[in-house]
Amino acid sequence: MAEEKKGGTAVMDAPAAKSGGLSVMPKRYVPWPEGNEKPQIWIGMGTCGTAAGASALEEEIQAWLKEHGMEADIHPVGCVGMCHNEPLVDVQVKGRPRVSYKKVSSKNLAQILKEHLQDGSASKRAAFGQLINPDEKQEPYDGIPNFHEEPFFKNQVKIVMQRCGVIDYHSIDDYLATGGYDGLKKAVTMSSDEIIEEIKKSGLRGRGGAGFPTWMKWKFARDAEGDAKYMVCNADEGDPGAFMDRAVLEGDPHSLLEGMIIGAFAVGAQYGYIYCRAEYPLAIRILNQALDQAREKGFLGENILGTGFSYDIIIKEGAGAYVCGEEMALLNSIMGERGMPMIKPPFPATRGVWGKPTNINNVETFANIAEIVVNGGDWYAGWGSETTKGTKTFALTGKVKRPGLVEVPTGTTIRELVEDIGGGMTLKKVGFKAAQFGGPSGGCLPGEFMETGIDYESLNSGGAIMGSGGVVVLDEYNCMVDTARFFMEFTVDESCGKCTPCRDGTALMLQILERITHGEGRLEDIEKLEQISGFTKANSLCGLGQVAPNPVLTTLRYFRDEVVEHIVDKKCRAHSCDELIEYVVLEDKCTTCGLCKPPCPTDALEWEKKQTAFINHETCIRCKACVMACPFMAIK
Amino acid sequence: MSTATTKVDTITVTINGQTIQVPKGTRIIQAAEMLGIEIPTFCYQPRMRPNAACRICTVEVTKPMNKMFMACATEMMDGMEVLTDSERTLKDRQTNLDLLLTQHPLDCPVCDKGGECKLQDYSVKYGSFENPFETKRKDFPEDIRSVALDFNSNRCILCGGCIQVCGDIQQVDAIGFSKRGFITVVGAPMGEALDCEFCGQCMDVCPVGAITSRFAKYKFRPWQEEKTQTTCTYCGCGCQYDLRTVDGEASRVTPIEGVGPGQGSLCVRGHFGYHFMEDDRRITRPLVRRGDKLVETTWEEAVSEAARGLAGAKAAGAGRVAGIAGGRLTNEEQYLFGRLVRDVLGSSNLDSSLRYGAINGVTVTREALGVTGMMNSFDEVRAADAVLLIGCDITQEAPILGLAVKEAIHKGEKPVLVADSMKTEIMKRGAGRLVYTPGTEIAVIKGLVKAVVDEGLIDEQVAKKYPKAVQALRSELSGTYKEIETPTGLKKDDIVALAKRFAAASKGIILAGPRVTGGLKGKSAMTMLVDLAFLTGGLTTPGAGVNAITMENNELGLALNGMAPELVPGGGSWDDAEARGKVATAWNCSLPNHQGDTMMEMFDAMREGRISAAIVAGTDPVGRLPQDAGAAEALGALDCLVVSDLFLSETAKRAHVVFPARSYAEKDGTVTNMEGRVQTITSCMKAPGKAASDWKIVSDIAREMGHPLEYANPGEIRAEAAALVPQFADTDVTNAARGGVSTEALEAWLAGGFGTGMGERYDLPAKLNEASGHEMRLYVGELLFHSGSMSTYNWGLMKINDAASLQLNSREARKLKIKEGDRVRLTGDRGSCVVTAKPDPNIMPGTLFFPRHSVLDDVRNLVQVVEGSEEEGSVPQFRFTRVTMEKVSGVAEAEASA
Amino acid sequence: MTAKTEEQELDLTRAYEIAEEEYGKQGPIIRVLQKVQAEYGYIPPEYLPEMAEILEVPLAKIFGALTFYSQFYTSPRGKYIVKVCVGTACHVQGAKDILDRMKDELKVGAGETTEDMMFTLEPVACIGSCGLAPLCLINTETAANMTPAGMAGKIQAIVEKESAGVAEE
Repeated sequence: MAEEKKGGTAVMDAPAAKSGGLSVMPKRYVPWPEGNEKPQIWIGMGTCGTAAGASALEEEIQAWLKEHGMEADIHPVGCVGMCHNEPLVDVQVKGRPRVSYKKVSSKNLAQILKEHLQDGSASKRAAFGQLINPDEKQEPYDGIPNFHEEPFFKNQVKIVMQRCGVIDYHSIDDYLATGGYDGLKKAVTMSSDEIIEEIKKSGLRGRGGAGFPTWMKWKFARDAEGDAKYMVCNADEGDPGAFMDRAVLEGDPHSLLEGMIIGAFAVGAQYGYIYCRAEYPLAIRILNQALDQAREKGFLGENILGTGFSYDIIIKEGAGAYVCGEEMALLNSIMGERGMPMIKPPFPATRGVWGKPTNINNVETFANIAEIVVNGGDWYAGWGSETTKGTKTFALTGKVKRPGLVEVPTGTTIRELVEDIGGGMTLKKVGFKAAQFGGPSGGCLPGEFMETGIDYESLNSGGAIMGSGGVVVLDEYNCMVDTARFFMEFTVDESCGKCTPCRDGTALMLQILERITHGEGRLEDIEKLEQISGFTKANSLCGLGQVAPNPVLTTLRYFRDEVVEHIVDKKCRAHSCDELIEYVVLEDKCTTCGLCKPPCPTDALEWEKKQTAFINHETCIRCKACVMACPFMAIK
Repeated sequence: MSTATTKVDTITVTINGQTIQVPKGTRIIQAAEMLGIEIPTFCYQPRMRPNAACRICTVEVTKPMNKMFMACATEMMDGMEVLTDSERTLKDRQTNLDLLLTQHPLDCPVCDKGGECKLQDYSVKYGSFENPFETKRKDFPEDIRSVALDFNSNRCILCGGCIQVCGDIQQVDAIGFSKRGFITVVGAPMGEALDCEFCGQCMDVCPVGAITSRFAKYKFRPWQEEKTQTTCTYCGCGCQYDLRTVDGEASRVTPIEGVGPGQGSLCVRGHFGYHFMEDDRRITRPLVRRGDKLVETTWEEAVSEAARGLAGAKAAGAGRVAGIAGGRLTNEEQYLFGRLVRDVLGSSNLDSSLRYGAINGVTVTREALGVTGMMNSFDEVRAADAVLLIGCDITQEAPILGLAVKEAIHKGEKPVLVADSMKTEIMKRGAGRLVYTPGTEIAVIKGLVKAVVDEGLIDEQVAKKYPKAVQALRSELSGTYKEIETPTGLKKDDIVALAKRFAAASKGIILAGPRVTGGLKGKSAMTMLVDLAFLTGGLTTPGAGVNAITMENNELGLALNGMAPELVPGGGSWDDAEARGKVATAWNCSLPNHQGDTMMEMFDAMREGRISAAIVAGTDPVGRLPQDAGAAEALGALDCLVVSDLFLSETAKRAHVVFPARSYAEKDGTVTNMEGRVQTITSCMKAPGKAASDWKIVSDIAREMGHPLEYANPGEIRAEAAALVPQFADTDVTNAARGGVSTEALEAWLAGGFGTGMGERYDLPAKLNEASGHEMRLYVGELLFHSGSMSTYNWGLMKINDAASLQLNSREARKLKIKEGDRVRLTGDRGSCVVTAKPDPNIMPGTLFFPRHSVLDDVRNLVQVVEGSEEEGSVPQFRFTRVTMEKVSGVAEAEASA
Repeated sequence: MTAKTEEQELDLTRAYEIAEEEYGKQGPIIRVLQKVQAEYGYIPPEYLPEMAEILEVPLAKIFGALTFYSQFYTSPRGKYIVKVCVGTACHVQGAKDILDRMKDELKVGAGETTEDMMFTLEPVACIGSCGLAPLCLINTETAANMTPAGMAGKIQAIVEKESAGVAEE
């Protein structure tokens, strides 16, 4: 414990900020464990790493070590954000930097370990980059790029995710060694007003999507009268296409806990819940362990840090209802009931869980708190755009080369996100069509927004929302009508059914959109969609319904032609709507390579060497396998 | 949110250009109502917190921001400006209706709601008259499996009002949403048929025809109906409702929002018990006895025969005639009946169903507090900090008062404390519970008083102001808890905990049920409760108090009219010469100079030939009391028995003359509810045959006897009665509103030795829970679906519940391998019988429950009657007995014994 | 194997215990359902009335919650739960094709279980690994960057393994 200060300071070196002139970005390195000579190995074992096959790697590493008579400490780490490079394995030997290897598989694992652990060099071919800790004397490897200088990371500023993928998620010591709980230790010496004032200065706004100023929420809860108060974390990250919170829950659970404890201290809460969706079993496991550790170390439970302040947290597992991300529904769900939203007021701040004053913030919001307390509100406000301070994490997915989890200062443009960080579009010849922000409640922004700096206000004015930060990049193979239909289908499935606009409005919109994608649309459908959208937006009970029409509205706003095309020409330019497709091979583009033939499940694709392919419409089931297979976009 | 709050209590708001000052916290819809502006609503119920689900009440707020708000839920801010008819509002409202109508089946011609359907009305008013969206309509089969309510989910607009009323007001949660989103359905859980209390409130709040009454289905169209506001006569609550009739036939009952004790709530009896008036079994013509038969006769002959019989007995000697009346009679009828017996027949042998009702409760509160009936109103119960229910299964015995208790739970999340011999529904909702051995109420109450004394829970001001009374109690309760723990089966700590919770409340209300007032040493038990209230400050704090519930409709009228030998009209004591003199003066007669017999004494006198004639109106002692009471033999021994009733009751079967009486729907008058509220009943149906009001019957007999009591209408009787019973002069006023406890009476009571016989009061009877050869304790009690026998003449209520099943503990049943529907034999000291068993988790092990209304006299007749002493109000106790239970194996044996 | 036990009455003792442990605690409904499901793999409907009695909560509330949440199941599920992620990222990468293929392959609809109680097919909205879309799960094993053919192969492998196992028995 005494050493925890040593290696733990944030190293401020690289210039990265977007504005405000504060060109510092915290980076976290796990200090070399004192007195330990064994090599250290970290495996990316978050849900995504595991999905990519990381759990098998652990066994293989163990087997390799055993075979070679070597010993090493193996640590699981969470998600560093590079989904495109999973599975990731980091290896470090004493006195040298930690090297991160990408796309590790049983094929290259032995080679990596051999080169790194036996040959004393690092495997240049597999290495992604090296993390050189300036606090320790480390001899860098030649020919291996600096981890933080890689394009994927260069433009990122990591506050929330600074430890994700870096520290062992089982280890509170790693957390402490990297400055963990410094925020809490400082906070307990401050008054409630002082803490809230720092949060106010930081400009932090709710990262759950609505962007309500966090300090104000805390103040309401603090000022509410009640014999008991609750500080609740909304970890019901339900937006499909968003997984920022999962990364924090799995990769750096204590940063969430620390934020919650500081919040509880500030508002005077004694009890807490983390409402986590059940689809995140690993996160729940890790969180539970973290809670035990925090209690053991006196950061949680009775008489925290000897201050007399007591606060404890219980994890509530969701049971599969997206609407429980809405705070009133979440409260009902915590209380064991149907997750139905309720009319506000009373707001949770005055009447929340079990009728007591309750403050609810999302994971990412809490994960910012400790850093703000340590470094001050002004420091945090040094990043970001005029209206939205700090950083925001985004789950960048879809048709980009480097999908993953990124954290950037607000105000970063869509182009920077998609091209600089995401590496551009997956398929060279298939262009960018839209970026979908904010999940099912968001909207699709077309190319003209490429230079727009992302913050709450800019997205809102474009018809999208920040939401929890999902960004799905769509290319020309994605049909906008179908995308709108997809989201509406999701909303219809997840609408709780309480209020008429959301329940019936979305269901009817879905029916209309389905009609259009089936080629049975009518021109007046557009007007109807607009009518219902407007009604649903203005009259729905909770946020779910109020934003549900966004995908439809943005589609009608930016891609009206495409909708009209579906209705009038019975044509889907993205070749996505099954009923509207008749695939043909474009003779001028076909290079007669034949790559399109093998994937065809019905042998409808006829091809002979050096001949243009031909599609038999009798047997074609429009599965699109050939379209996906053709590298030259010769099949339409 | 950070509004510049002005400290004023009123704010100025503008709706559609009209400016109005409203109290802070007023919602848009309320302000609009004040201005006479209509805002459509589906899910909004003034009684409940806004659900804000249907969104039809959307209005455009233009200041301080421009946004659509729900009028039902939005509290207005100072300076707020609202448009309820702007283009945007109308458009959104129309879209809302369009969305609903795209799915709602257009089956209005066959929908019972047609004509009073909000969706229909709003569509005409705000709809688009075209159906712009087409979609697949829902296609649920109509659920007609429940006995009373049909569910048509296709018509349902999912406003949730039914679920809210079931959960928040009725607190039964019999229905709920299942699934979610577009496919959400309302109904009973598990997809099963609804089986609930059938209060019907879900139907009342349904804005469309999704929930309809099976009993009224296709029987009316709203515009054909005539509406008559009247008082429900099934229990002591006295709810107000509209009895609707089509061509003089009852079509249905509908509640009246915000009116009367129930404030718009009804229970199953009130809602669906309107069929008995039209039952074929009604007596329609006078009957006279010819040998062992009752035969129809003319009115004149029946009157003359009755008069002759009564006059003969009167002539044979003073006190040879008796009169027994019941709570079915109106205040006016009771008054006149009493005058007939005491004045015309010159007998002091006048008693009533009050004797086997709550006379002990009524007497104790009258003597100690000067209040006849409840000292608290239902509204005070609603606002109570704590409600202590003892021996009172309120949801069964006084369902609407039960709702007031539930509202206290719901509103303030405040504790309801229940002591009972089974797990009652209200107990499960409450915060404190004591489940004791049946029949040991008096010991439980003693324990509670002792806990208050021992644990220093006595109200400071009371202790200061009445040190002597407190000291008297303290010394009386110096014994150990042993004598309480042993018979009741309770632990001292549990008793103390409950007492502490009750004492901690500032507005604590005690409600005593029939098992206290009609239990062993009922008068003492009730007095102890007064002690409990006294010690905890309940008699001196507004909103707190102690009350006995009455279960019969006009039971309190019986007390006010002095329908018991120890009472005189006005509710005073027979002992009180001044009160007696007042009556004599009013009637211009001399009253008999001795106090008459109570009912059980009358029975003895009848058997012994000291009483030879009697008139019984509106009650059925033979049917009501167990065989052991000897009512059948006693009444059967009379030379002349005159009975008036709606049906040929067990008593009427033994009569010499039977008059067909009118039901509450066929006569006018007033009845008094348990709060002391005098409310009117209004004739709206045609009486069958020759049926007449009881005041007419009495008047005719009196005339025939040469002692005319002539009135043109009940109003004239009431005017006369009001001279003796001031309560009759002001209708719809509760005792609480009249001032509650009379300080004078309380001081006098305390000064007069704090009730008499303190030592005897706190002596526990030796018989309490003593061992016997029979190990099960059988308790005969009330069921929500039925009260007395009237309800059993309702085919509707009988359809809902005709189960005369013996309830036993489900675990015990599992052990004994007894399943629902199995036949079991009960054997007691008075014989044995076979009944159908129904396991129930709420019954305690070792205990059995059987509904009192049951036509199966066999079980009732197992009960031995314990005659209460005069000090204990001469109340016969017939609720408990001990039996042995065994499963009857084989159908043959079961049938043989049946 | 499951066919045999179907006939027998399910032993709900543990389920009753779970309810009894939670009696008197705040907001027990979801917690009890989750625990019972963890124990039995699903929530036997016949358990619910007894659960209501033990907890003293209305059955309608239990049933309401049970049917509200998509992760409560009221019938036994397959030995292998095949989850196809149909979240946004997976959708735009072709998840629908995988789901369709699975329906064909297993001859069941979404949310249904094969007659031999071997597979349950379940579309899920986002597992939270969108960078590896499209994504599938077979029980807890994740399959990243999946294709219809790839998943079909995995199913085939299980079928073969299982039939080999049965043969051995």
